[in-house]
Amino acid sequence: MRWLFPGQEVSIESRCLDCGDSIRVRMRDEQILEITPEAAVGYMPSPFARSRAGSGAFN
Amino acid sequence: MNLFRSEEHVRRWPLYFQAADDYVMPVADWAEVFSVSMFRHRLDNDYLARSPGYLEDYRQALLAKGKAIPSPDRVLLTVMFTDIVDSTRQAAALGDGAWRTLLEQHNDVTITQIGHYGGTVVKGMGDGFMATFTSPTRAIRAAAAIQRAAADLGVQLRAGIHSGECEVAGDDLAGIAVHIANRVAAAAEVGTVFVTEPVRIAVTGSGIDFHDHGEYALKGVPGSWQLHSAMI
Repeated sequence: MRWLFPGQEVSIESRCLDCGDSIRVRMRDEQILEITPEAAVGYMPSPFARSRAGSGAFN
Repeated sequence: MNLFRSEEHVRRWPLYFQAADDYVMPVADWAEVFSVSMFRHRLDNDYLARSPGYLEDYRQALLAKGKAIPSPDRVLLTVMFTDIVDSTRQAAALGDGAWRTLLEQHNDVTITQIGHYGGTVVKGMGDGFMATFTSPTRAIRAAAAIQRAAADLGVQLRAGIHSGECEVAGDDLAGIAVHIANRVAAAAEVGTVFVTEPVRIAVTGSGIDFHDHGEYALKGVPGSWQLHSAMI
């Protein structure tokens, strides 16, 4: 969001993938304006965790 | 990114990978990590090609949060170096214009053969090349083909090959394996492809035979190294 919508308030409405409860995040640039619930976490298996063997540069 | 009410919820998720704790963080922390300049480039046309170079930025942001990404920047590769023998003397004998033409022809045949054998040119180094291969057999065959093509141009080469883990540093490679391959090329006899013992073992069954040249001390590299020339 910091780079896609600079200076704009962005609101994300989502649901917990475990229980389905609503999760709401509002932010402007890197500043968090609201996280509901506060304990919400993000889980992002990084693409960089995979080997670069197939990614081009050093095949 | 997948969102969860709390860490307890993410751990209950059937698709949660237990070894992936480094990828679970409070949303606010992710927001900070995603603010690093690497992600500013995501809309650039050449982002994918350049993303390895931005990785350090991302790594540092994760480290600041007590997280780490695995080491995808350390990969097992076969590294090949080639080097024109007596390039300075040849350049002086030919003159700048003729030498430049010869060098361009040498570069063309080298790059063509590396590509033909599925390798990747890491960089040219004036009168030689550094390239990587995922197969040591193809690296050897490429080096031999380059030497034959260069010989047709009247250029003699040394070539050295080593297989080992390399550190990916942007568009370049680093690490002791790279130094070893470079030293092996320097030790190679004119017109030969020298390889280390790990390469010789790795290509067992490929049909490539070797001549044992004994143990070498490679400058700056600990220990002694058994070197072989490929007989192809």
